[in-house]
Amino acid sequence: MSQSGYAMARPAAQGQGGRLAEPGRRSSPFRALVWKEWREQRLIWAALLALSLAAVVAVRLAPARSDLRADLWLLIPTLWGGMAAMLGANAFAGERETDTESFAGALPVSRRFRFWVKIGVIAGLLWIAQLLTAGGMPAVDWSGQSLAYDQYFRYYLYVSFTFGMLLLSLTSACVAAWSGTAMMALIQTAIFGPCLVLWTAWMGKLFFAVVQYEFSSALRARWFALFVSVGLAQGILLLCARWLWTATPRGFLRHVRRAAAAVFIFVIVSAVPSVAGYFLVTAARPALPTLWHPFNPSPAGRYALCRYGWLQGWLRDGVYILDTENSRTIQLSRFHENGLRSDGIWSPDGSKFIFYMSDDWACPPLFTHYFPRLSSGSGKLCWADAATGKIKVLRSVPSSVNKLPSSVELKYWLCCWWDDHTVAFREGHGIVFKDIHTGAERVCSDNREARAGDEFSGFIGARATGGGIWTFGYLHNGGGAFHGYRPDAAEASVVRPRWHKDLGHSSLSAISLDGRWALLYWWEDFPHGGQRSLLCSLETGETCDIDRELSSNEGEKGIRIIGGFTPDSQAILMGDSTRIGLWSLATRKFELLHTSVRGAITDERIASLSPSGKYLLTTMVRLWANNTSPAGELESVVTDVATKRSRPVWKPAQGWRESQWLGDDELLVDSVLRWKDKELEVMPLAEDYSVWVVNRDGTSKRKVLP
Amino acid sequence: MDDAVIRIEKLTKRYGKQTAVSEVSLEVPPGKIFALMGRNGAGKSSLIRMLLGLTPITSGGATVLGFDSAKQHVAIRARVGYVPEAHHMYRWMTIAEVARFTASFYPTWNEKSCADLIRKFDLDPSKRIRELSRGMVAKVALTLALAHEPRLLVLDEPTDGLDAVVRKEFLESIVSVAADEGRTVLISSHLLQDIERVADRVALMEESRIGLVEDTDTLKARFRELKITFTNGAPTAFNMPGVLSLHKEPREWLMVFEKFGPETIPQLQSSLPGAQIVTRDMTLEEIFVALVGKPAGESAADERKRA
Repeated sequence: MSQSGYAMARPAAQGQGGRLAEPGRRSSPFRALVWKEWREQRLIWAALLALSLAAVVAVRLAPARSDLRADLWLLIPTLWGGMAAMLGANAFAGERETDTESFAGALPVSRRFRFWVKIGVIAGLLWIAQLLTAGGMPAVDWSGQSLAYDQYFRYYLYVSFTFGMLLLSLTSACVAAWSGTAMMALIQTAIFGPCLVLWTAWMGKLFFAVVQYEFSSALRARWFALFVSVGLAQGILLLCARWLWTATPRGFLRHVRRAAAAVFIFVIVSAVPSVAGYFLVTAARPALPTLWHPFNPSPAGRYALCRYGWLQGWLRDGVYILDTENSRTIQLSRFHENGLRSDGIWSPDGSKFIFYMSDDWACPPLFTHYFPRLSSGSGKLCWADAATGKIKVLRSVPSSVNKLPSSVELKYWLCCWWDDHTVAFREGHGIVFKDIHTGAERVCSDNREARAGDEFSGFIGARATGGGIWTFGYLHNGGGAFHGYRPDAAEASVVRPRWHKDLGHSSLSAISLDGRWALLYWWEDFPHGGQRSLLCSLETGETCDIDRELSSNEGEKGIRIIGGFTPDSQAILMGDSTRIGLWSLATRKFELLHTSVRGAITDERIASLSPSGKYLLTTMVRLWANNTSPAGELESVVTDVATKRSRPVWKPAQGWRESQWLGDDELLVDSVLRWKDKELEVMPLAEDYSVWVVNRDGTSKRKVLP
Repeated sequence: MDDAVIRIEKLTKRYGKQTAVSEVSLEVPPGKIFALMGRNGAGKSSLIRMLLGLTPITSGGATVLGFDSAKQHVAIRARVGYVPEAHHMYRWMTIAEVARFTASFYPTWNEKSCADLIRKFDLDPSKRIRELSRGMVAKVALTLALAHEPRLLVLDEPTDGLDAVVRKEFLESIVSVAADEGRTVLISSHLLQDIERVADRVALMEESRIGLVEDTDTLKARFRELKITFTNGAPTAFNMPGVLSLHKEPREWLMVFEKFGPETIPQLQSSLPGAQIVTRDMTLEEIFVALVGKPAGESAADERKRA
């Protein structure tokens, strides 16, 4: 018996019935099935691989920090999932549709063997596609964008991680295809139906939101046009789906139906665990935080507001209350995190805070991302109890696009605490003092000059600030004015004379706690252009150009403001790359507190005074350090202002990102092991983040998160 | 029959509440062309699929070439040449590719035999399956079924959808293969003229059961149609054993005998004096209609539709 079956693959073209037999070796059943699967899947695989590689190229060409780039990053694994579903459906449903299953079934191999060969081939193709896509990145790096080794490593880890998800998609598609229409009908009934209901409910919610909010006619027209478009698109999709499933298309349409089924399965397989995971994982205690944003500690140091993001379909973020004593976190929002701000303002006792919450949550993030004009602009002024996280609304803010033109915009984020139970906020032409428990309000209306103000650029207040709260605005004619308010005074109590002839655009940065001094930034017009710092006496209206003052002294050149007033209102925290010190308001001289030969990149994040002003925290980075190699080059020191003695408190081998005082005795440190890539802000999702509480001496530390 | 190639005992197949094959017992002797005949939906294909392990057996048992159909179906399929009802091969493959692909699964694949068959059937190995006519595809299927030199060839409605010329040619090939190499052939068909041409022995399946198993020649000899003409009018009463059906006209009767023998004519002449009797051999299809009452190609669904 001849064993030369191999010859059949290369028949000699000698006309009909020509010579067939050539020497060769017959392959095994496994190889034959692998060859058959490869031949059947290769076109789809190649097409999807090309698409994935195109996405990789697009990622590399997209601007490094653009939203488009982040979206494209997510597109690539999505394509992998689509590839898994399409290959799976094609392998199984395709065999059933063409009834070649009966031919293959008659071969002397078990059905189980054929099934696993199919799965193996598709899984192999997926794996190869993923590696090729990942490995294709250096090939397209000609655009000059660097790509660090770490990123490759992370990418391959990501491949490994997502491969399981792809196999899940593949298996589901295969099972659905293998079991035929019964399974599809079940899936449609059990999953597609509720999805449709949820989607319709969501659209209904948006519809009523649009009706309820007083949108402008133009904005409302855009919304209703969107409803009509989405409704039509849904209808068309449903009709297409119905036709594809009930009709028996031939040729190309058969492939369309198969692809639609595959994509459908993939969406279901991807969406259901995502939605379930979202609710299960993040409903109560948040999952491992991935991207911490600056903390906002309460005055007593017990709580801190923080914000972090996590990747779930797309980048989401949320605001949390962190209890530093027991590491408990409370999620303030689930859906409308985009509208929350972590820079809430704490009450003097540190038990609650006020914040502004945008109502743009009514729009799905995808809508507002791609259709920014659909944003309503309305929101709510809220306060929340730090212990419970319960949010209460102080003021519902109507849509900004619907109100009549006004010289003074409604700026509800200009708000502060008057005392532990009274909140002050700007509304219309005045300041409202509102008791959060009783709801009682007292309005201080602006006087004529204040109403003429072009824009209120700052709003700072506390009981200590001269017994009132203060606002600042610059006027049309170039002047500026401060206004002081008290709840027991019906009229604005202080209006300062114009204090600068050509003020230009300016903003209030800080007011000293004794209410005597204000610090402003202003921008000179061209050709002198640039930001300048002004010190203004609220008592006399006298101004001092701090930058000019500093540059006049040779020893103080390069010194700049890196913090606000000291708690005793006697100085301003200043420094340069190697020096940190206090600039006295009385003597207008710089007094050195700490210096480092290694150098320090000084900004408000890494140099701050404790609440009492007795201690200074400074974090230093080597001068040559940069984002690509910061790890191990950091050192945080606390300096006693009185004795000017410094001692290290945090020498993190694992990195550092932010420190905040928790009272005078403890520090909250956000530690992150940075990876060596300049694109830290774009994809820092797999880093080792942790939050620590360290005592002032650096002798003890405890991990708070995660 | 100890050396039976196929032995079936009380084999049953149910799809939900519907019974496709009901307690069928059967033996197929070696070296014969054994035909399963019956209407569409009678259960022929289900029976064959159970024998080859292509569908699970509900109850009962069967052995093919000594292998258990329920447990050793891979071994059975490796030794049986199977031509399914519809020849759904991979349309993108060439004849050569499909031959090489199939060869990988059969240790007994005979390359020379395959090449000979392709030559004999006048097939072009470089042509893709999708370019072939139905008759050519049927020939490819037969080639694939024969090239591994099976002891048993199972053909499930192999000529369905083929035109008369191709059918004749295809059946001649089967006969020649069976005759030349002494193979056993199990063929199912509702086209009884095809079966009549080739079958040594037939089994009639009706409503999921085997109604009759007999050698074709014996069966044809046993059944006879008689045309009886009366010159003085037909009698009002008539009773005689062995009559399967009787169609009465005023002066003429058409009678089918299922146990026709040499004594039948003298008995009739004595019972019906003066009647003129003419006998005629019956085709397999006529015997089938006489037994079942409907044409073989008509399914139960057709019957309901007609009603």
